[in-house]
Amino acid sequence: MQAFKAALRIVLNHPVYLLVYVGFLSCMGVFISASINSGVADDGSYTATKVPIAVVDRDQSELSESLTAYLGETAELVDVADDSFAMQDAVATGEVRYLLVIPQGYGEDYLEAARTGAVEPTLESTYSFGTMAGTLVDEQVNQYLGLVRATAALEPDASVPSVLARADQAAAESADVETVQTPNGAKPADRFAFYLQWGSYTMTAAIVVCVGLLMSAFNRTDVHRRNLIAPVSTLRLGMQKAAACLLVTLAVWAITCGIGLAAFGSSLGGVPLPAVALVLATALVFSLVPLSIGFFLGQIGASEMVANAVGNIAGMVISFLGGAWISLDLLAPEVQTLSRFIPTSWYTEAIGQAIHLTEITPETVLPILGNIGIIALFAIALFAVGLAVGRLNLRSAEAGGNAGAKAAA
Amino acid sequence: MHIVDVNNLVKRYKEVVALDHFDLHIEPGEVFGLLGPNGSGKTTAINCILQLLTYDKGEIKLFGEKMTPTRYDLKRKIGIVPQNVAVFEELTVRENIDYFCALYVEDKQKRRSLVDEAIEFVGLEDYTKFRPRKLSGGLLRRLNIACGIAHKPELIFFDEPTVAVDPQSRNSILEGILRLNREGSTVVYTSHYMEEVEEICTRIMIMDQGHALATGTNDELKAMIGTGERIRVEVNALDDALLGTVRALPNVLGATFDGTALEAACTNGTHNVSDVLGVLATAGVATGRIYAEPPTLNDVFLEITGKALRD
Repeated sequence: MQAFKAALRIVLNHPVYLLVYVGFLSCMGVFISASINSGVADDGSYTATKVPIAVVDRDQSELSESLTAYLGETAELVDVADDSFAMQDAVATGEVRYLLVIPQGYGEDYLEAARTGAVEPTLESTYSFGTMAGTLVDEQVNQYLGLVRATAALEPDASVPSVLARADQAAAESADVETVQTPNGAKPADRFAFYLQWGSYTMTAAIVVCVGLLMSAFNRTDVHRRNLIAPVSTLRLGMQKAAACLLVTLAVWAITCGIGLAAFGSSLGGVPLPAVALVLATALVFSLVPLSIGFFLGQIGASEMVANAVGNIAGMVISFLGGAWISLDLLAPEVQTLSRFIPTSWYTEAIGQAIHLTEITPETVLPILGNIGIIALFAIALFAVGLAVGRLNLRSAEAGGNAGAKAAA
Repeated sequence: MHIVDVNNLVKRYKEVVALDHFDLHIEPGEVFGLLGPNGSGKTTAINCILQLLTYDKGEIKLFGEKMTPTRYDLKRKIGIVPQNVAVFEELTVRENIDYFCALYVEDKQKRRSLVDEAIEFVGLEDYTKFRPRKLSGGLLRRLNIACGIAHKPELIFFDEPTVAVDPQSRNSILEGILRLNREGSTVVYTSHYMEEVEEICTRIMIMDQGHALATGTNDELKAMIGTGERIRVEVNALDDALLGTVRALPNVLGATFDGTALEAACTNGTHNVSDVLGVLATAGVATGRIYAEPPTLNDVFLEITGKALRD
C-alpha cells in the first residue's frame, strides 16, 4: 500500500487546495443557493421595498406638500437639512437614494403653467448612482405632477385643493400584486438542487486539481522510471494509485454533498428518500468525469499549475455550458445544442428531474438513470483517452517503457 | 559467478547504434566504473540492464540469472541512483526515502530503522521535514542517493551522481559510495569525470560510441598505452628548433609549446625529466615551475580514440 499512502500524502500535503476548492467553493455555493427566491417569501406574500428618499421643500405650497405626502406613501422620507453639504453627503453616503429639491414658488408657477399651457418650471433631483431605485422614484414624481397638470388643464377654474384631491385620487390607483407559486417554480428543495448543480464546478475543480497533482507526481519521468525498477508490478502500483484517486474523488463528493445536506437538508422534507439518493448518486457518477480529466492530465505529465488552470477553467466552462449556473433556456440555441456534448447538461437535467420526483416508478426513474448512464459514458470515454495516452508514454524510451523490454526478453 | 553479466548487447535508436555488441562482466564486491564522454552509451547500458529499455540483441544476467522486467526477486537486490534526481517534490525528505524503501521492504519496523540509517548515511538529519524544492543541489543529490540505497541493496548503480554538485558534496558522495562498498555492496559507477573514476573504482571500463574500448584496473589501463610520464616545464619562450630537439629525445613521444609552458609526453624512463631539462639548460632557456605526472585516464582515452575525454 506504499503507493496508495504516498498518493494520499501528496494530496494531504496540499491542504490549501482542499480548503479552497472544496471548502470555499462549496460555501460559496451555499450562499448563492440560499439567495434563490430572495424577496419572495416561501408563503407567497409580497412586501414592497421602501427606498430612503429626502424632499427639501423650499416652496411649502399645497402642491409641494401634497407631492411630499404622496412620495411618503411608497418611500421612506428622511430629513435632510437644506444645506448644500448636507444634501451632497446624504446622497453620496447612501443615506438617501433620491433627493428632491422643490424651489420656492414652484407650486404656483407649475399650476399656472398647466392652466395656460406654458412650459412648467423644473425640479432639482439627484439620484444615488448605485441603484435604479432613484430613477423609479423620479418617475413617480413625474407621474404625480403629470396628473396634477392634466387635472388643472382640464378644469382651469378648479381650486388648488380640488385639483390636488383629484390627482391624489388618480395616483392612488394601483395594480394588485400577487405572487403565484407555479408548479415548476422554485421550491425549497430546489436550493439543494441548485447547490449540487453549482457543485459541478466545485467537484470538477477540486478533483481535477487533486487527482492531476497526484497522478503527475507519479508520472514524472524520473520517478516513474525509479518505480519501474522497483520490485513491484506496474499493475499493483497502478491499482494503488487508482484506489487513491478514487478515495480523493469520494472524499470531495462526500464533503460537497455533506455541506449541501447540512445547509439545505431541512428543505428536503417533501422529497422522497429514494429521490434524494438518486440526486446524490447522480453527483457521485458526475464526480467520475473530473476524475477522468485528472487522470488524463496526470498521464500527459501536466504540472501543478496546469492542473490548477485546467481544473478551474474546465470547471467553469462545463458548469456554465451545462446550465449549472444559468438555465440553458436563457442561452442561444447553438449553445443549447453544444451543451448536449457536455456531461454537465445531463447532470443538471438529472438533478432537476430527481429533486422533483414525487413518486418512484420505473417511468419516472428510468429517464434519470439514462442521464446518469450518459454521464458515466463521458467519464469512461475520457478515462479511455487518458489510458491510451498513458500507454503511449509508457512505451516511449524517454519514459523507460519496460513493456517492450518484456517482449525482447 | 559474475554479479553483472552482459553479453553481446546491441541497442539501436533507429539509425544510431547506442550499444554495439557490448560486453560487461562485474565481480561481486567491485566498484566498477563506466567511463566515457556524454553519449558514449553508459546510461543506455544501465537502462538496458535494469530493463528500462528494450534492446535489439544480447543477454543480460544479474546474480547469475537472466534479467527480465518481471524478475522482482532480482530487482529486490538492486538499488539505483539515477542521473536525474528522482524524488517526489510533494513529499518531505523522510517521506520520500520511506516511500522508495517501502517498495523493497514491507516490514514497517525494519523500514523505519533503514530509513533512519539512510538519512544518517547521507547526512540529512537536519532536513527530514524539508520538501525537495527547499534543498540545495548537493542536498538533493544526497536525497537521491538515500532513496536508492535505503533498502541496502547488494548491487547499486550510480549514474553520474555528482553532476552539478559542489566539491564538498561531491567528496561526501564519493566517500559514501566507498563506505557502501566496504559494507558489502557491489557498485557500478558511471561518470565522465575521470578523476572520480580513478579515485574510487577498482576496475574501469572506458566506453565510446557504444563500444567498450578497454577494461582493467587504473594501473592496467595506463599500462596499455605508450605514455609513461607527462612533463610540463614553464618557460618564457621556445623556438621551433629547440622544440624539435626536445621531440628528438629518445623517450619523448611528442612535445608542444603553448606560449607559457613546454609539455612533453614520454615513455616510461628513468631520466625523462633530466633529459628535457638538459636540452633547455644547454640552450640557455630559463625555466619556471616543473611538473612530472603519471598518465591519466584522459591520456588513455586520448591514445585509444585520438580525442580527449572532454572534447
